[in-house]
Amino acid sequence: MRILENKWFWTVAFGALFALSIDLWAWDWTEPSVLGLPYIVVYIILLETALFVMFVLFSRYYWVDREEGR
Amino acid sequence: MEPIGVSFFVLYLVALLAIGFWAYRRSVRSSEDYFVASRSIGPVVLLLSMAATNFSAFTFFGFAGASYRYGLAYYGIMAFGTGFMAISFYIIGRGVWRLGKKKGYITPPELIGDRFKSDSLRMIFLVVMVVFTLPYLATQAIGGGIALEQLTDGTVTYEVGAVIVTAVITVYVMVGGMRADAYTDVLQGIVMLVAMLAAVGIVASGLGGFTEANSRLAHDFPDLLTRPGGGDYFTPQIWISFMVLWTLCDPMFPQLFARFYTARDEKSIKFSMMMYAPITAILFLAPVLIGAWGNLEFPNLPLAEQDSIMPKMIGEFAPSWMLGVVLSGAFAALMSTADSQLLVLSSMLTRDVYSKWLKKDASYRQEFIVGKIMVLCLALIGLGIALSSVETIFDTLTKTTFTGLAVLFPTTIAALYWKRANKWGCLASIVAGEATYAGFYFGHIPSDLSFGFLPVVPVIIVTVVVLVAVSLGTARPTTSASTE
Repeated sequence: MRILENKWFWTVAFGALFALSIDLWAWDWTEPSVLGLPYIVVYIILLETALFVMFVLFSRYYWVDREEGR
Repeated sequence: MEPIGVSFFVLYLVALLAIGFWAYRRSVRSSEDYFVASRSIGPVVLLLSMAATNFSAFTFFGFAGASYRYGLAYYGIMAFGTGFMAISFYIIGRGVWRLGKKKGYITPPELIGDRFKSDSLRMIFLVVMVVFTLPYLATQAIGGGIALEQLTDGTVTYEVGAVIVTAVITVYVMVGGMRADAYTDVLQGIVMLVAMLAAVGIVASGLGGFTEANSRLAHDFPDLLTRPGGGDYFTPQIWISFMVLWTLCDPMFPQLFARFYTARDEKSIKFSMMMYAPITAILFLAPVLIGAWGNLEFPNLPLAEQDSIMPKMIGEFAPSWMLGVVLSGAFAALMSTADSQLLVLSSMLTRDVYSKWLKKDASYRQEFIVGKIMVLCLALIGLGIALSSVETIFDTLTKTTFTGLAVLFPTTIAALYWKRANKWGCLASIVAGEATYAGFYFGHIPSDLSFGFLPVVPVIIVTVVVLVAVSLGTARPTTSASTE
């Protein structure tokens, strides 16, 4: 898991996720849908899930400091 | 007037006041305790406090109205843009918390001013924050007045409603300070979440079920399910602009910036960052869905009525008492923003004006007393704006709040990470950024020069370029603080 302690890994990872949120390739898609929700809503929920997982890993492996806390 | 709904609302106000007095009993008579709760706020309270402070009346009424006009894609720019913004809890929040703890900072301008050893920079940072936050504070009083008038079917007028909402906020902020502010945010965050989920459940059920409501929308209004959406609103440039705007502007809201000082430890900030994405994913979906579904029941509403699509839909499908519960969610959203704005504006005027210029040897206790007086004065000013007719200036400032505050982002990053940055670079950056934005807003700079993006994109490019160029072109700073 050493890669998760690397600054550049996280810079690229968050940058890539932000770039994925600008999904120009799927601008006029409506399918596939879940519960009648169009592609864009489902896609954003997936991105938010990925963001949550990344924040958890980031906090666990990168944002650590011996001075942390009181 | 529905008695159950009104009773629920009154109970909610009483609970807020009770929390205020509970916080008072736990407080110490000092400015550090009053403004940042002695840096003691733990993870769950900090998270709910951040969220409730960040989400205002706009989250309830504005999102639904925008979704009514532009469609479900509005969820994308709001939910992901705001969720991604939580990365600033690390980039900015960690450094602000560390410096605050180490040097005793309470307000954003004192960190910036001290870092660059510049009173001028501290003052300009203060002025920008106050100028763009005060009108926003007044919009919360306006929202409160409108919502209370709606809740009581006009029995309570807009003016009286604005006074009641402002009075309750003022009492618990004056009495309990940041501790009351943070703990009322917990109640308000929960009320907001429950009200939103209840609202979407009731409306979906009334439309024949969740999937059925979406299918009807896809059949009758197909443009509201895709991009560019209603009115061809979502161009790629607009999409990118909003993603940039939220990331840069939200952490520059003084009420959020100052929240970082209140954290008990870094774990509290980390927890808030982690949970921000799920909160925005869940909370923002409800008003966007209800707004878009509103076209099925209330098609072709005039623009002025579109922001009230949420209460219209609740009124259509829910028992009348339920409107009181849902409107309490709206009150929670606007009051949790207003109380934080009130407190942070008071802290800045106390620390960055009174203690800095008027009484340089002011003790923590004197600041504590002045802070309370400031809360009262600011509340009266906000209420005055809400009740007066200075709409032109007020509207302009409210509309420009987000980009106006985003201009401060490069200076804040430079303060935390770039040792070569100096006060001249930051001063020039802020002045150039605001001037550029004013140029776009008032039409002195042709809108073609933004190439279809919102002004925030060219404005931020200008602020960054000016900050770097002027810093490198002027003398190297002799002393500095850093996060590490």
